[in-house]
Amino acid sequence: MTFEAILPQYIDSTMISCFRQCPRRFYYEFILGLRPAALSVDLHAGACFASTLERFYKESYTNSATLDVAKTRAFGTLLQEWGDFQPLKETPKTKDRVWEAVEEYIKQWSPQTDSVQPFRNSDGGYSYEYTFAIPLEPAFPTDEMSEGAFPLHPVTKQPFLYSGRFDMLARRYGKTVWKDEKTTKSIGQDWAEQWDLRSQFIGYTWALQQSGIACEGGVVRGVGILKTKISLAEAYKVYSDVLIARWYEQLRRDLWRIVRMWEEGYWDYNLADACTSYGGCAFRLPCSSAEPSRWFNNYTIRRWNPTLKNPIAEAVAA
Amino acid sequence: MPEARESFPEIENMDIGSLHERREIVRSRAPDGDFSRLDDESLAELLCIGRVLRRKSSAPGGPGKARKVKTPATLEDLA
Repeated sequence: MTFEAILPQYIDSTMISCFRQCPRRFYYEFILGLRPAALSVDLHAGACFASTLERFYKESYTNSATLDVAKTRAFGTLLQEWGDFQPLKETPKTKDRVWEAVEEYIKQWSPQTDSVQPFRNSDGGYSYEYTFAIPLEPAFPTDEMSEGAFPLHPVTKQPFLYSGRFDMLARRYGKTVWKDEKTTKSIGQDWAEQWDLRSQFIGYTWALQQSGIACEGGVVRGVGILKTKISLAEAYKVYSDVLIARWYEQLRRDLWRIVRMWEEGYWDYNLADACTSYGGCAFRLPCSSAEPSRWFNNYTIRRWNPTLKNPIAEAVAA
Repeated sequence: MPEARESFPEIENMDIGSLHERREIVRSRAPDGDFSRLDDESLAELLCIGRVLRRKSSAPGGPGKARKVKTPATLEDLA
């Protein structure tokens, strides 16, 4: 297998978050594209949930199907998207449980009574999943850093694209909002507070504003999938202009750091909490080794695409 | 959503093995293997099969939930 270092043109919240935790991990994961061979059940289940719910909405709103018919057709989408995926270890996120979560979600937030409705376009059509890719400008080459400017991509010499997708562009009590579902294992008491400074959501708000849409925030819905229980939660988050400006400046500073590390050919290590959080970093072995590249064949290559429901769905042929 | 015994009454009376077989038969109707293009009737049947399977699998004595049932001692046992 060949290992090619490719600095992506697009940057999204997941990539930036990874870089902030550990630049070396960012290099392995997003520049070399290394991923553990086993597909992530969390990403797969989350993508399937999103696709299934989107099919339900399309049937309900666009096709005016009854609740039962819309649910039935959404089930077909779940079967198709799930495919023959088999989690390698015990998990509550099975295909059956994901379907039960969809049913519970629909019971809680039925199209007839949901305060969050799909945005209607100028032609009367409904808006569902929303993707964006916004050039980060003004931008200059590395050696001409200008105050307040972003770096140009050092290879393509084009501006980086801040990219992403969220589950629905919507309306809520007369305001345009983003809506995003988060599938998780459990929903604790502080579930809503964790989104107060969430870079991902601040980025969504900024992206809509850049597109000329007046937006102050959005709705995040949690879907907790446990073995014997499905729990649901909702939070409406508003992000001030001050916070958005702070987020924007931090994004700019981080991109300059990424470009400098790319130019230098050295990516800093965290060697701290990032190595052990969330069950341990997938790259502990190469980071512990005198010759990290000897471990690369333990991984597959999957390039991250922030505009897809499952951003690592695309595998690269060996 | 109609209950299994209303739309597909025969499904409720099938054993677990037959339910799995029936499910494979219905799944095979998917055009080019694409389940998102299955007709509504087949999808509804799959949903019913899934519900009945889960109910039967989690019932006492079902697979994965088998429990030994103690029968009360008889006078002959005690003799």
